[in-house]
Amino acid sequence: MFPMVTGFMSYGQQTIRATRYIGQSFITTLSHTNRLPITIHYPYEKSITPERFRGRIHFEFDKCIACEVCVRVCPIDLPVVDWRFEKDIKRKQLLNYSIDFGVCIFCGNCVEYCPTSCLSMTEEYELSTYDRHELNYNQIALSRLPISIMGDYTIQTIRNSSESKINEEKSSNSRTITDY
Amino acid sequence: MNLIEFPLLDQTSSNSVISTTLNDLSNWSRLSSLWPLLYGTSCCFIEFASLIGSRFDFDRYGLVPRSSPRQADLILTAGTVTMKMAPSLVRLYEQMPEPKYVIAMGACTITGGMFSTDSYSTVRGVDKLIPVDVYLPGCPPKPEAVIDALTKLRKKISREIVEDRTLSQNKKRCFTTSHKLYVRRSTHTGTYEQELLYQSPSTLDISSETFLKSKSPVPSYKLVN
Repeated sequence: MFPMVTGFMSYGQQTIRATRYIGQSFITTLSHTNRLPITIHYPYEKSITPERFRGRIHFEFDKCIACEVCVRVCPIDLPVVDWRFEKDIKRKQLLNYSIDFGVCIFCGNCVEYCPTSCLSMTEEYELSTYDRHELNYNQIALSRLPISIMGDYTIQTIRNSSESKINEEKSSNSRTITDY
Repeated sequence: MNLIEFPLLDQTSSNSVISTTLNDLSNWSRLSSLWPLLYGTSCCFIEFASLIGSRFDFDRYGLVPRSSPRQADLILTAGTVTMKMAPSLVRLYEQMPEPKYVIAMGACTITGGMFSTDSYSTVRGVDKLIPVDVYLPGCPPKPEAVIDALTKLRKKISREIVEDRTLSQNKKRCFTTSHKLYVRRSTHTGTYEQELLYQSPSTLDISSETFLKSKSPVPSYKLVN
């Protein structure tokens, strides 16, 4: 009779433990029902690019002094600077400038080292084409301003969740959350 | 910015209403179930793999990643293609069933990227190996940019005319004309050893030769295969 009682007790304990485990896992699962779906419906919703995102390079023709620092600094000597020395003004005259974005690795060295800051990074990243020779941008294509995502009212912008989390952390300073 | 003239539109399309609608239907069904091959060689595949996840869910576009080239319609050449990888890539491309599309993803596969100047092993642009439909620059491109390239590819597919598809794919190759691939028997079958063994008794005495012939009417290398 005594072993039967202990058997019943242990069985009851096992049942309680199993229910607790199942309950725990269900709480974890059901806590996700409170969350919104995180999928970005891309052409209609666009996430705001980070502040220092390196997209297509913007170039201002009038600022450039044809010093070729961007060429020297580039890992693959990519920018093509076409200039002519004008003897009457004793200055280099820039004729053409082009960057091939099929080769560019968007490292941002040229933007970093440009002495007159005529190069700058934009947030434009939709550059795909049907012909690879269209990726070679001359100074006119490079000087085109990108369309801002914020200004386009047909597209819903989504704040990057990690950034907002960081801002919340800075304000509340409760504990560090690494995942997002 | 990327205003593209579609060369397929200039060609003569069929006048019949029924055939054009059938063509549209086939194009629509094809573009809404582009199954990409799960192919990637380096860092661009990390961005491509994030597309499979829930944040940039590319199953919305009907893209289901396939691990077999026999079931795939689309190959995104994600990552640097070295000269050692090139035959495998061409082989994978040739194994895909016929309406097949290629997106060259990343600077490495468009022109060689940062390896284009002084590398001894990189293929300068994957379009020297296989015909590329959409070029997607970036190092690596954002996942959103990949979706943008996909929408451009879908636009291209939706304007295709059935008869011209094979013609246009052959025209797109940049430097090479056409790959006449023919399947060769692999050199590592082990039959050459068998042939050596088979030839060696002929140099020996005649009795063993006749014995072998009488014993096995089928040549020994056929037995191996």
